[in-house]
Amino acid sequence: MNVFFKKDFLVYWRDRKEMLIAFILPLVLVVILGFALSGWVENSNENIEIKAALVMLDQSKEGLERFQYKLNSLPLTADEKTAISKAAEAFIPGAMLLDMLNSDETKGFLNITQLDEESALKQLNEEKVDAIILVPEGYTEAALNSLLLRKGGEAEITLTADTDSLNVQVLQNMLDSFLSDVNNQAALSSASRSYGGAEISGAEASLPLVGGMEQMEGVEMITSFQYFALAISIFFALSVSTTTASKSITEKREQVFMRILLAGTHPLRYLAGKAASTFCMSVLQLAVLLVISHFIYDLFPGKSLEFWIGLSFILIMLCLAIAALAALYTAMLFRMKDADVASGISFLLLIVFGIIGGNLVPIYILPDWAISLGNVTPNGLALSMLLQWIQGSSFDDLWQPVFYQAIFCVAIVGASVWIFPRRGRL
Amino acid sequence: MTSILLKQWMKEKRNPLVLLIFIILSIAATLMFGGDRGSKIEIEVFSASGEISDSETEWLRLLNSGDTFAFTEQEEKAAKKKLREGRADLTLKLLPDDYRIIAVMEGPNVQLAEQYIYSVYKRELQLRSAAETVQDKLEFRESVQSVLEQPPLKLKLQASDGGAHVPYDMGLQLLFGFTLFFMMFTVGYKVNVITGDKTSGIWNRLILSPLSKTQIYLGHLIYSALAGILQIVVIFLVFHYGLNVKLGDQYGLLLLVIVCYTVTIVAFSILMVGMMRTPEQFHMLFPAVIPIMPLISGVYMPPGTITSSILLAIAEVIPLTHAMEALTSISMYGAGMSDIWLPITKLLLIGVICMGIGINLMERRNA
Repeated sequence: MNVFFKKDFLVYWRDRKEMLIAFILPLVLVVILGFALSGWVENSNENIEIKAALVMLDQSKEGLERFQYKLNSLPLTADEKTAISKAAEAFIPGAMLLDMLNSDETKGFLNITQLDEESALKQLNEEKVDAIILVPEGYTEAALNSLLLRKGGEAEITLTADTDSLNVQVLQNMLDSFLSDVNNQAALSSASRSYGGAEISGAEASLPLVGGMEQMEGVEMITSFQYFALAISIFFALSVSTTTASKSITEKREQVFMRILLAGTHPLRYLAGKAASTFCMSVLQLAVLLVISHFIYDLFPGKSLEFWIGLSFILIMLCLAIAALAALYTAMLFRMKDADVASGISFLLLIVFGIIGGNLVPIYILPDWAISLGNVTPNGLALSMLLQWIQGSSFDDLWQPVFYQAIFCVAIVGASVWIFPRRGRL
Repeated sequence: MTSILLKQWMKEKRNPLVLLIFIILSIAATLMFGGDRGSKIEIEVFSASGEISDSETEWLRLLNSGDTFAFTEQEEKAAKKKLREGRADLTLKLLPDDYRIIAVMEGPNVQLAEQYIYSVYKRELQLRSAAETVQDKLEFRESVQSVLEQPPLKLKLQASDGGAHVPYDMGLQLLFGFTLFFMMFTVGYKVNVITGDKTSGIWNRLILSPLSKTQIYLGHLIYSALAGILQIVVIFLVFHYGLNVKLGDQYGLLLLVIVCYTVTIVAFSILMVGMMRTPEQFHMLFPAVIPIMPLISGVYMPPGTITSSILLAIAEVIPLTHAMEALTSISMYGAGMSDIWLPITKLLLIGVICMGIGINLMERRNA
């Protein structure tokens, strides 16, 4: 086997330019994702900068006065009138909206300029602002009528935008939740007025202190960068199996294999050489990738030696599975008449494994069945084991997937030996 | 040129399995990954007390009234296991009238879910505390509910021309993304025939034949492009007729974008083939390069999510970005030719550059 092992490494060496690409490409990818993720998943609100124009056609003070004036002419008792009038002062939607838009909390990512309607539209068309918030004339009066007296139609604020970008969606969510809060408060306060409950004023309703994030005991958070760095490294290691197999096409085409057989060597030694070289190559690739990204980005800060040993063990299990897959692809290649079909199949399997294993696409966009299927692929299994290992799982939790990975290896090796042509079958 | 087309076709007829497997698998993958439209994000819920009580069932009902998330009951152990394996973004632990979100990984869904769950709890708890002070709690609740059914204050969305504001259809974006993504493999696989021809010596014989180089290249180009276009058209037809997905009403424009994109991808594949000497090298590089493209083009994320200017600059040279822009604006916003000429021009420009460099590289190798 030694000879064949050496031969396969020489074959890799012959294509050192391509091997270099295979080493550099994932590194570049990890670097790029390092950039992308910092502005995407982590602290996603910090990088958002929304520019919006506010067109205020409403005069809230006059609106309130008009509302209170008209209230006096309504057939209500004096008590009710004072209650409603007091509620109205606490509920001026236009003013509340301005407060909300100018609060310190929103100032960090929201940039509001007050404009008249015409110039706002002009800026929108020139894409200088993301959206226009328009508060129509007489809004306060209409809103108060609708909120407190349930009279007249609903009062509308208009949000004008031409695209539905993330910025517009964030703005829309803000306004939606603001309006529904006001609606909710008004509904509560008017209901409690009519059912004789305690007075609830709009602005100062207490916020219940519930919820929050909780961490599992003894579990460490995984950063999305760790996730992607691992996912990409695993995928590229997996692709070594396809590479090895496609290098065997040349050996089939150029009758190398036949000559090996004629020299009286057992054919399985050839296959074993393939598997062994794939194993070493994928270990090398994973090691280089993870070590470099650890030193550039501090991938796993402050981990113990035990952690690194466990990590290596899981990765070595993965590389064994990759070696087994390479043997299977090589066996298929020699068994099938058309080597292109075999390499096409290995090519497709690589992509399918990569996708359902969660290495190529963010896992949350996959349907549920694909996510659970991903745990059956060697790369998906290794990824999920590593994630658990980073969180600080004990080895007791992991023996099951490790056992499965071992079974996978044995089964694939068995299949490839069975498929691989023996003497007299070629 | 026709003789090259014929040659390719005869090869295909003799051994149709590979291309068929490729096209069928790509279509199946697109349907599977892109066809899962509008489904809710599932969040598993367990109770801190071990068993879901009546009041917790009520909370579940309230949580499930939204349309982004679906909350399902689950055993604590199973939910946590799924979370730790990285197969779920978050899980929800119910406490008496309180909750905790458990997550092990940062992600966009966690924030979204947190906001949503908090708003549900806030509303209900405020309602309850207000109801404490009144006599008839049931009627109080109904009265509040009746107000909220027709909310007095509303937000109206509109486009700047006064027309309706079109909400972004993320499902459609994924569908287009996966369709274009998988098509690249088919085209690349077909263009790779050239390196195969070179290693087997067919290429040299072709050069000696009276065919001109232009004809040889055009033959290969057109054949690969046809395979790619066929694949996309079949997928779109399945979505349109089979799954009733609305792709807009400008099929001519859609087809134009598809053709331009396919030609660009053929050119890109020729560039890759030009850089590689054997089909095996191509097999190594191609599947490593392609999956990066949708990530950088932002196919998997809502538009506007990527803000890094470096990434945006890289995305400009990726054909997928422009094709996605053209396809989504045609089918979501009803864009016309005047709106999509820019992305189409960029697409074709990338194609011309790739083709130029690619053929140059290929010819240099031959000499």
